[in-house]
Amino acid sequence: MKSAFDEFFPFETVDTNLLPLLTNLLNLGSAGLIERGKIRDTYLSTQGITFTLSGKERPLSVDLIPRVINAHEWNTISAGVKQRIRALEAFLADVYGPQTIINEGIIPRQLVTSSEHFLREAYGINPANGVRIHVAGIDLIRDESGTLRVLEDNLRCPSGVSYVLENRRTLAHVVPEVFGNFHVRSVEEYPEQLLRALRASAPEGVSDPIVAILTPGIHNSAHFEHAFLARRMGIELVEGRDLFCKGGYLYMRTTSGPQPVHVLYRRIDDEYLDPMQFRPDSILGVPGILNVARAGNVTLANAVGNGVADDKAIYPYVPRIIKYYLDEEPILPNVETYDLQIPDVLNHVQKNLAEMVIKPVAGSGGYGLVIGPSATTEQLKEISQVIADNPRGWIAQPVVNLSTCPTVLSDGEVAPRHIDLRPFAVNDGKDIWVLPGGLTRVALVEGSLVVNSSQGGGSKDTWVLQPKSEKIVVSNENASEVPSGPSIAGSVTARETGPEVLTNARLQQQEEQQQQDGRPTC
Amino acid sequence: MLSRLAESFFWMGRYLERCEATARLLLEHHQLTVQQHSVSEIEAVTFLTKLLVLEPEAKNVEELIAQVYGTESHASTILGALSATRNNARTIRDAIPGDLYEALNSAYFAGLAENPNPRLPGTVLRSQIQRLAVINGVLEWIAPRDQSFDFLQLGRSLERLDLTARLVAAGYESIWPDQGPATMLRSVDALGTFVRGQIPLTGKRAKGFLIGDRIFPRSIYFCAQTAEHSLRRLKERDDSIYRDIALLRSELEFADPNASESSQIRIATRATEVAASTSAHVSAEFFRPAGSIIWSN
Repeated sequence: MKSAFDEFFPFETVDTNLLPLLTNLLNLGSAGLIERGKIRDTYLSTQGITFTLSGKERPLSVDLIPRVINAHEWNTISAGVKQRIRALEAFLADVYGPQTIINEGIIPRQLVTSSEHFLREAYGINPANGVRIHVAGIDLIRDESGTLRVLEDNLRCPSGVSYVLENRRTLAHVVPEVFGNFHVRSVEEYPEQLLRALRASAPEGVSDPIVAILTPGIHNSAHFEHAFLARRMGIELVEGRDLFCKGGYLYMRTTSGPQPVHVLYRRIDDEYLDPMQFRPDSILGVPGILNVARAGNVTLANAVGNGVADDKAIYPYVPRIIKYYLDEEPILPNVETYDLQIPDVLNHVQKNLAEMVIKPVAGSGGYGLVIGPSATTEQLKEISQVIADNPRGWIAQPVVNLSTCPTVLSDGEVAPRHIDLRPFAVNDGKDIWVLPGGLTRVALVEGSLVVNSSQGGGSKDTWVLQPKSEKIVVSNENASEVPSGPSIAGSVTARETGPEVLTNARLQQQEEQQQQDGRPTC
Repeated sequence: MLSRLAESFFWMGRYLERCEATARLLLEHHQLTVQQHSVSEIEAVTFLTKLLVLEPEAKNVEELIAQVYGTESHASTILGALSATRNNARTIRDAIPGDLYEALNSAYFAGLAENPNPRLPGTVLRSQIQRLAVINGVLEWIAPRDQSFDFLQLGRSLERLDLTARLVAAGYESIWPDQGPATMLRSVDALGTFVRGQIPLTGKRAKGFLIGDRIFPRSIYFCAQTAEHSLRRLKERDDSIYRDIALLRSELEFADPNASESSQIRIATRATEVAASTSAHVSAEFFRPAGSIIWSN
């Protein structure tokens, strides 16, 4: 396998721009780094910045070393993410509508209709402002040559954005010295941008829409994030049992009676959303909500049925989708992917399993994935049979040696670990806004390529640097002088202080008094 | 009640609030200086010393942390305010709940013992804020609602009013257009309450919230209202001591919510003056009645 690209040591030598960051951190020594690790862990658990894994709440560990992306590269990422979302929006509108891309033979009909997430129930639900992908998380990796590639699209309920915001504050709390003089773009704007986009998607005629977040509940792995977003957007966090449908409208039960809900940012999967349409045993959903959406009285964000566009078997066709709808070349390339439904390709993959990653098309969170080089012979034999039996259910990709980034280990040593990047984008119907930052996930086990937090991965604060030309000029011209600053109105009024209650004179006399009192009496 | 007791309750309330408010301000200001480099370090540092009316001694963030954490002898610093709270409590130990003194003592000794690492102040400041919250919790649920509580409440709300007013007038948003408004709100832990009520977050809206919000206990309006209530209970028939604060309260109550930023600054400045004049009235009326002989100090 080719050796991985390192984010801090591209082309074998250290990136000099990042040198101060590393130096400041390494100056702490391994004992210092261990101590900071403890401070971080305490901070994360007292602040309750956690995710739930197998029913247990645990902090999402953030590494002390941030991942840094320069302004130039960020422009490419941002443009590439926007392009992809525009194309996939068009694709969704098409497959749940006229299906021209299928009729023209660009994408095999059978591939779309066989997708587990192609939902007939979504047909005829036309979002008010045309947006189906309100929030997207596009997973990127950097290959051995340093090229960023899209690994997968997440167009259903991508999670992790809360950690992007919290990681920044955590790092400033725990290792302020790494920030040095870097001009890092702020990530604080996200909740406001998201709320704006959600409000913009409200049903027609609603001027002041009520937006709520639907969570499966506190046992969900991302519950912290749901609560975080509700708090930062100032909207209600609801569970299925808080909602009901009546007369074609959606309401929440409140102390002052039913209150309408116009936009529901739902963080539960399609199949649990409406027991009348999907799983009848779902107790997390709201019976009848899909008909309310179809009537155009509530907007579901993200839309139902988006899974067809982030299906891993559709993924190899995304460059064609971009070309078809936008007539553009993809800005961010895909990872080479084998369609196992073609017998020759299947054969080739079966012969070279040891150099492949085999992924289930419908899976997420790294479950079910088989990495050839680290699999046993039995596992390879087994998967060879599995893919032969169900070629639609799996894809194969050559193993990409993900780029690495220096990471602090639990013993205070620093070593390279593999990382990926999930930028988040918000679509308000007019414009797609990409959060300058993103979630960098890191595989904490040496050599491991699995970064998913559900598989024990950690995260990194992700810095997008301010473009040099846009660097804000220091606002006072004579930096050496103490600036007079803006007029602080209150500065003329001194702060009051109370009387001295423990004066020395009184203290002395009181003490003397005590001594006399304390003299033993005969 | 004894004038001396009344005065100590009043100042205990003020210093308690000052300590908490200053710790929070410093904490958020530190986050800001770490994350944002759009202004020079000296400007960011002077901004806070100026807001807190401290001498412009600190030349960098580390010195700022040390200066604002301060010493026992400087009552406008965190440690100084903490020490002054405890000193006042000591002199009225008989009149306050045992739990209160205990909570105060442990906050004080912990504050003395754990000087914040100037490069890493967050941990110490956070635990400081936590301990102060315990003290406020004890007050809320145990302290009897007699005159002593009115004096304490009065001190607390005047101090809070003064600090929120200074925060509004400081000009965060003009120096840090990105994160200034959020920092301003976070400095009084108001960000969550703010976003529940309105969007988007702008400097003007943040200031408007801090000035006039009806339900947030640290807005200038809310503090003026609380202070006025306490004063009315203390001296129902004589409106001369609460006239200033009542006028401020009613001005805020009926103020134009879309007032310009310059009038926001003006009202914040006026609030600071009213806090001072009310404090002076209270002192003259209750603590040092005319003709009292002062033997020392």
